[in-house]
Amino acid sequence: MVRSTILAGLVIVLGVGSAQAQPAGKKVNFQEHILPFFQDKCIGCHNQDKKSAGVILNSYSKILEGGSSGAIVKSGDAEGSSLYQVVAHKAEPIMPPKSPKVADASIQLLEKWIKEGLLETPTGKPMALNKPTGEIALGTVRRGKPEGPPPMPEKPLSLEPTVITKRGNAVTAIAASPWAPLLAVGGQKQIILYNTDTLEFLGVLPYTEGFPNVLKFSRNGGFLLAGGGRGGKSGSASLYNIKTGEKVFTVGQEADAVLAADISPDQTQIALGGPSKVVRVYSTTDGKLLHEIRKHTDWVTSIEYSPDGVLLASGDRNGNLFIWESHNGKEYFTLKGHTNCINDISWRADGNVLSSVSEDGTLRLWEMENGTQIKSVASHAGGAQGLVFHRDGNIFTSGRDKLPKAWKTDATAIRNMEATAEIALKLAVSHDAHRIFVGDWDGNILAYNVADGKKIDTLASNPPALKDRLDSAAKEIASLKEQIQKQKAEAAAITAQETKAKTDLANMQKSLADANQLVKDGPAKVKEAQQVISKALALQTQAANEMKSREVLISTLGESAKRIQDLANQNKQDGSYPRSLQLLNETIAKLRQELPALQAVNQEKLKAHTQANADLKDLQAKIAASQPQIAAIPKQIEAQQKALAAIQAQISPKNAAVAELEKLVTFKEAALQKYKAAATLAKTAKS
Amino acid sequence: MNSNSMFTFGASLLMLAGSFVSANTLTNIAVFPPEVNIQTNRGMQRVLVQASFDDGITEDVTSKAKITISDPKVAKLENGIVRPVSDGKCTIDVSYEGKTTKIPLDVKQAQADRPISFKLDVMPIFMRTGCNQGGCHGAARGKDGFRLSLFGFDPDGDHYRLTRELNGRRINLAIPEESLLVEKGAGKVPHTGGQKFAVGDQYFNEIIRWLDAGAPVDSASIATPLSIDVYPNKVVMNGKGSTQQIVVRAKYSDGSERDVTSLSLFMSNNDSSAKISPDGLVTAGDRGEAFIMARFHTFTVGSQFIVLPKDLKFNFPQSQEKNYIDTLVNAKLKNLRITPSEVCSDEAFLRRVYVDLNGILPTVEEFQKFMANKAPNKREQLVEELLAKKEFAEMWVLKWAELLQIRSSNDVSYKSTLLYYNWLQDRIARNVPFNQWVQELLGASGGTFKNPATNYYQNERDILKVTENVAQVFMGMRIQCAQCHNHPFDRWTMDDYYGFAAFFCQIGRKGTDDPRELTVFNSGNGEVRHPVGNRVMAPKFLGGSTADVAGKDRRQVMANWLASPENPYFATNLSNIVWAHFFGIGIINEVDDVRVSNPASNQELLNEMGKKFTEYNYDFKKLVRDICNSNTYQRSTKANESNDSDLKNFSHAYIRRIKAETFLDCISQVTETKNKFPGLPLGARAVQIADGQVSNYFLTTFGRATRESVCSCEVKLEPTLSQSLHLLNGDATTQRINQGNLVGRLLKEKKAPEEILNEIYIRCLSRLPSADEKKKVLALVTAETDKKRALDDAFWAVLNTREFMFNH
Repeated sequence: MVRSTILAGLVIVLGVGSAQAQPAGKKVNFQEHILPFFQDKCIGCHNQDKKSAGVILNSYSKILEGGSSGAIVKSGDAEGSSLYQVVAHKAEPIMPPKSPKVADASIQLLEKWIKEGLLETPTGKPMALNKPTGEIALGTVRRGKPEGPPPMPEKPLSLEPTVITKRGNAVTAIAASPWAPLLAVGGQKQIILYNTDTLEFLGVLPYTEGFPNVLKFSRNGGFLLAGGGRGGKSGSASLYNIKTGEKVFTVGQEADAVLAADISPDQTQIALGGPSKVVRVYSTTDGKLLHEIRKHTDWVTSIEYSPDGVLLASGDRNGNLFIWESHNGKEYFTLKGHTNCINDISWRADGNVLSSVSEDGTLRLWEMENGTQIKSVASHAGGAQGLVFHRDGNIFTSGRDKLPKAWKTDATAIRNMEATAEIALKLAVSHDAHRIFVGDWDGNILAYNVADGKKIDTLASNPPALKDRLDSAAKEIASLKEQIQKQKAEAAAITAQETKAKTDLANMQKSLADANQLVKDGPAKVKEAQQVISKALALQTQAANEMKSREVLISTLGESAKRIQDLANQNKQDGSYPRSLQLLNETIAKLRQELPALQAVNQEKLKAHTQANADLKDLQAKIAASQPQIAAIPKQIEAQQKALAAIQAQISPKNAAVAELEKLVTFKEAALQKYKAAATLAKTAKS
Repeated sequence: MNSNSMFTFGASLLMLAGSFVSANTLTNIAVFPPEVNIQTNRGMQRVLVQASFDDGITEDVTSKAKITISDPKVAKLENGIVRPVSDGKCTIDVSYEGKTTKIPLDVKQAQADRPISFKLDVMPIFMRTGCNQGGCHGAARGKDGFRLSLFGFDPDGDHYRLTRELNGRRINLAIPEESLLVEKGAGKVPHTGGQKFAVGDQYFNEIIRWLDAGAPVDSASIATPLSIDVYPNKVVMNGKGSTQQIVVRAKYSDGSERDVTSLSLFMSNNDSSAKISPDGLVTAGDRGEAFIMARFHTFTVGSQFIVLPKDLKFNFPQSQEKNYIDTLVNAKLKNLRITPSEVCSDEAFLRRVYVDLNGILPTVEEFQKFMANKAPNKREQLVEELLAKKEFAEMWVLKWAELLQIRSSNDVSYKSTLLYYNWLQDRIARNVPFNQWVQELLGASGGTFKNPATNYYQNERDILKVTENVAQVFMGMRIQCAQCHNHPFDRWTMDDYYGFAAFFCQIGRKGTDDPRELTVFNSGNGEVRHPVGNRVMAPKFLGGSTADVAGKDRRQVMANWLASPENPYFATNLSNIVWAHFFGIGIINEVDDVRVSNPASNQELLNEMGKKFTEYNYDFKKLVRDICNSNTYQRSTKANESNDSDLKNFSHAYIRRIKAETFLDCISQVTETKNKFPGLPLGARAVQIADGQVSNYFLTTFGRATRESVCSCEVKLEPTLSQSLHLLNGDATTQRINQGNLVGRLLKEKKAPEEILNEIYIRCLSRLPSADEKKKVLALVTAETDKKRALDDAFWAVLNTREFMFNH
């Protein structure tokens, strides 16, 4: 809340710098006008940690207190206020040093503010304390899975990224919900949420404070804490309600980006740290600063509360690692061993062991009885970066060697995951410990299957614009549908092949049966044929005999007729002779007339006999040929059966592929619908 | 810098000397750089036009001259900057006030874009804008959590630190302009170092271009800068407020050239005379001389600026020039419009030359003999006489014993120290040519007793220290900086340093039967590795080529090169050491601080002396003779109006504190007392002490070199309170006056107080008291009944005068 007002103020100041001389109608006040200006130019040195010349400029009360050489502002008297004098280059030392003089408009604003009586807020009332919207603190710490369904975003989140970039930047923050399939990734001025099961893009949470450097889910998965800010300028930690996606609370007024932060398991405290070297602990009930821990000698790079909330661990860039009592901020243990920057720390679920990884390349385990190191293993050559000690007991790490690794509870290696292309930075482990998500230097989030260390997919830390997402989803669906068509066509082709193969097989089997039958019936049939032959021969012989006897008869009768003729010639008067002769000639003619028929019969029988002989030869040849067939065909059948089986084997995967694709299309179409709805919503919201 | 052109430049000024009074007329225009070569569409070159006038004055007339490009299809001119249009060759034609000239222009790959390079485009920004200075991110531990290598000696390391040391913090590839690197540099967020560049300027754009490309690392074959040229290299400015733009051009190993003016860091060694803006615009200030330096990559190149009062009228006086020294010194003085002082009196010369050559004062007899000598060349005669004395050699043995650190210690026995000293004394007394004994010294092998020269490697056993000592003593180079990073103000890189150190990494040392003796030998193995990247370094002569050392003693190879004309620094450095003995300061000062950013006050003179020294076959006596016979050496300490402020061009003699040993000898001499030093007979002179370890209260107080280092600063000549108190109250004066009883003896010889006073003056100051002095002192003596006491007091007073303590 306060932050957004500050942002608004910043916009005003920038406007002033370029165009108008002062904010119209409003009195110049610290909260809206002066603090943003100081944050831009001064607080690199004049913050609560560096306090050059004893001057602190990001707190109204500290400005009134003045610096080590006394008051810096005198209400109503700009010329008498050294703060104004040095900024306006009217007195030494000129400020800011080694830089050009600030814009005249800003100087006038400062002058006006002093002249108008150093107003703190527009209303004149003191700046309100930073309070959360709604209750955050829990009554007790409850270990294990919270009751009810694990918290997931319930309201639709913005699918339109706040910032769209061509490429991503090194992933410095990534976290997974302990109970829900929810992954949060630090992006550019936004937090990107993915579903760890479906890898679906769920939307973004805008991070207006700058760039998130650390993300932590509350132990019950209900809140997401994001620490970060603008390097060299401002830092804070913001708390988001997972269900509503709303930012409910922001604490911290660092002069540089927050690098490490955590919310206590009972959700009463938020601890944060960064280049100020100070760990600051704030109350979530009223935003008050509870403890300031000033023991670190270098940038605070990692902070985590123990699972029971009793202890707070923090590591720094020098390799110092401390354990504090979280209720009073007192030192509990100093964990000595790391020789370089602590990059990540993570507690074992029972709170008895802390694990830490460092730029020195080691993964170390520390016990909490005496605060001693119990194990140190060389984990990642060149420097270990990310670390998660998962609830299920396994440890996961990432580092400069680009090989994310899984370890047993005692830090003995289980396996290396597939290598990343760039340095593997921070990582998160899904609630069920089935998947890990590694953010790399290029800004990619690589999803791995824990069981085999294989890469599943790559997610982006720079999600595309909703419009592009819509386009690419539509394109993807079209291409999927095309694929389905192709797959289906292929399936049909396979079915046709199957049918043909089956017919071929049946034919083969029939041929075999026929051959076997022929061989079996062969001798009987030969005999039968031989009988047919002999029968035909008899018939033919008979016909031939008949014909011969007719010819003999005709010739006999002819001789008789000749004799009768002679007789007749001799006995011309005898009339019987011509009559007999005629009769006889008639008979002969008649017989001669019948002769061709007899010849035809004879021809027919002769043919039948020849045929019967040929038939027998044919049959014998057939029988002879069946033998090798009987040997060959079974082999052919076997091959054909195999071919058929192969074809049939293609059918079910093809069908499965089609089914899978169809499912994917359905999923994508649903997503597309969601994007479309979001786009429409955005459009309406705009108009 | 091209010494040859400098010489002709000086000579031309010399010829013009007569016409200084007339109104100046334009004699010549010159265009810089002398040729313009542009590659790729990002190439550009600023051109300068410099006008020279007959009185030696130069003027930047770039904006007034007419500059045209002969073929507008090749290139175009925008605000004095040549930018490419298309490939081709033509000329840049310049005319100004009737003078014309042209330079060649060559444009290549005009349509090609030059890919961004971290080393060539981004790294120079860090140096130019001051990011990697020692006080900022270049500090050993960085600044505010971020470190860059000092002046960019480790670009690969810097790339790592920027992109991957703290992943995600310093650069943002998603939104390059919101990278911390950019926001801090552009002052968009508070930055302890202030705003270093502005949004949209050249530096900003180049860094963004690099980030847009994904912050790539350069390929191993990327071109490297080979040299830079600074233009113009000689400027004579006419009056306060006149300006001259500087242009810096770099040449690269791939044959390309670039205008790197906007990427160079500028410095002036004399801001009050010539101040240079970050963009290379020099503005004249008070009268004087300044050396303007441009630093780019590992190169520092300078340009000489002389600032004269506006339209100064000047006449150089007729002056006798005894030899080349006078010629060259006067040439420089003419450039500077300085009138030298007169030649000093015989008395001043006598004392000066005695102290300088022999380390003793002339006796009364010697004084009188010299004063009575009427020969016109009596000064030359005296110089010859003094050169022949053994005291002359002793003076130089002392000098070299300091530089060679002849000194006993826990590790070095007194015997070997003494042998070493005797070895050196023998070489110098026999006038062995310098190159011979230096080669013998540096290449020495054997026992420290049998071959005492090997003591050089006994005194110092650290490879890197030996390397540094050799460079500092024999070449005048302080290369220590380059041990950890490229030298910020000189040409030496870590490659040069470790390449030279490779000559000293095979020195074997072993004991002998005598525990006091050590044997130094060539072990034949051992290498030096570069700390960045850990590669083995091949032996490379400092400022020279790689050496062929196969099968040889590396030290001998090095020694033969070092003490030879091949080494451009040896003869000049030794000449400079000799010179500094006679003038109190070197032509390059300090003598062992030769570097680009500490230029010689008279390079031509130094070159000539080096040349002569070589021609003399390294016989330094001849060099000393040249110096002592020159009018430059014999000038009076009294300054005139024009040379009053000159402290480095030898326009008058400089007053010098007599060094501790000689001073003690002088006191002993005039008081007729004797000293006893360990290892030496009673009455030996302090100059003769062999062992640097030996000292006494007087010597220590007056800054005798401890010989703990080779630094020329070992001999301390600064005044201290204990020195004054010691002379006032200590045993150096009163006790010695009593002990020597000079006044008593003279009184016994029945000398009158006036005579005694004269003798005291001659003894101590080589002159008679002035009338005024005499009157005052004798008045006091007359008033005092105890004449001895009064004269002793007068003696004491003279010993306590500054005139006695100094050589003048």
